[in-house]
Amino acid sequence: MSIRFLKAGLQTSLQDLGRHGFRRYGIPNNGALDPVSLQIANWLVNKPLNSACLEITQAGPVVEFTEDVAIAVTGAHFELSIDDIPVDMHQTLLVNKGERLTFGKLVNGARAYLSFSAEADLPKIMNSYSTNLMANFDGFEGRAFNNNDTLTLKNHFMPEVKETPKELQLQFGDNYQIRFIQGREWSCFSQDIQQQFLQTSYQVTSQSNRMGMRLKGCALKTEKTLSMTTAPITPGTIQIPPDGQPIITLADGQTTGGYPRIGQVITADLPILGQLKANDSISFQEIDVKGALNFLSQKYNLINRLFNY
Amino acid sequence: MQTFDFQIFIHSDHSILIEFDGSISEDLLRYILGVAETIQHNPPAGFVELVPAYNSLLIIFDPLNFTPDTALSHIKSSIKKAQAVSTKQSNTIEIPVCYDPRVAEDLDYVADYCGMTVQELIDAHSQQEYTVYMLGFLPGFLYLGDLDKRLHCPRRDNPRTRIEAGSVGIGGSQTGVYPIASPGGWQIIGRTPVAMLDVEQSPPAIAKPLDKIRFVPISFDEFEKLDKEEA
Repeated sequence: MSIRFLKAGLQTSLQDLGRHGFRRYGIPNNGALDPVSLQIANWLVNKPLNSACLEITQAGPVVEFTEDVAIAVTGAHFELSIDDIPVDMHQTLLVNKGERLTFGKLVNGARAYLSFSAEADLPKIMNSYSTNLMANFDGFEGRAFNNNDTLTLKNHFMPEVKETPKELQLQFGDNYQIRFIQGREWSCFSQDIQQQFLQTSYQVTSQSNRMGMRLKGCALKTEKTLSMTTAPITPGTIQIPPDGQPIITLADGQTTGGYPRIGQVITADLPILGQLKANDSISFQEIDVKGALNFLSQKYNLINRLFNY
Repeated sequence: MQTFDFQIFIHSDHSILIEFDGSISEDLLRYILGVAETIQHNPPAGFVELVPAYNSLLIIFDPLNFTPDTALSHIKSSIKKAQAVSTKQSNTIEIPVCYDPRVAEDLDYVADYCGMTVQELIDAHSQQEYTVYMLGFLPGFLYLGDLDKRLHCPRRDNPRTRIEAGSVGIGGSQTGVYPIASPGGWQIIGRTPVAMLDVEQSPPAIAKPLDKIRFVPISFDEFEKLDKEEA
């Protein structure tokens, strides 16, 4: 069986929870920008939580299935319809052979995840199906889907129908406080600049993508350029380039960087970054590592309760 | 045995950072790689991967299985046992490079800038060995040491939106090969037909830290022939 892309959408690509262990070769994790929503989508169709989904960005696709299939859509809130009949997100949906699923208006968030009751008939590279859009490998031909592509599926099954509990039917806003841990070069910035960083409401710019989120707001200009030896960075690292506008590294971002690391977004808040789009705003709130790990375990306790239903 | 002083930090909710004192050198690199090897042989709980760099080492954990204080003391005791790696496992890797304006748009400019003929530039660039210090920036990109001072040349004022895979460039005091097509600001002086990245191979990059790279000049005809074979 297969999925046919009548319309591909702005950037629709295959992603799972990413590849790990290859950053020392310059290869980023890739994978879903909102891994929480991806896992819930997989739970709804009774698949391993790490399974590859379609990651759908801002303008969604129109797809057709060549066999009866169960699907689920989570993450960014889209108006969905199957053959022009509105359907809801956050539940298992049964789609009959030849029916069309249309992603309509984006209501909130930026990225939705579509899981399907079959497996993509593609090889894993470095233990993952995630598309590396920059080096063009894995996923579907190493790229985002185009109009008229066909994704072949195998090991098709029909799961029981489920619904996400209300507290995990996430809705997204356009203004967030993002929590961060002081970065290695935090103390290289003057107290004035640190205060500016903490008090500015930054706007997400349209130059943001899966590699990084580029922000615009109060420019954090230092008197002289802080000279740095190239050093490792990870998703969530907030760097301050010479123009003073912060850049947050995301899942496809470079493995090393040469700009001062003012902070590191906590892991619990990374999925929110994947749900922001141009003109949304964020501000930064500092917490310590212990607090960051507490928030993360709270978040996963909630999700794990769902997965152990 | 040479060791280096270091500072160690709980760097985030999923990483520990070690920064080593001392200027960038092969001796420091051998020690960093020795520390990396020791940690990898007996990793702390929750360990995922590590990334060695010029004068630092980042150790990455699964944040759901990261106990910072336990991991920190585990790593500190690993460092005590660490020894610099030998250069015995280092390979010398020859990379054929076509230095020809047809694939190297900035060749004449760079020769001009450096006050050399094109042949002198080619000789200077290809007659030395470069140590691989680290990988990063792009998948399979090698950070190389010790570019001949006579060849230092600033980046382009207007970065190109696309530089072909295999392009050999100079950016300030660095030289390197673009492993994949990407935007970039380096001056392009040559191109290799050899793939720098093969994602089906383990490891996926053609070289590792401490390996030596030699650029071997080839003609445009040889380049075209080898380029076809690679494709």
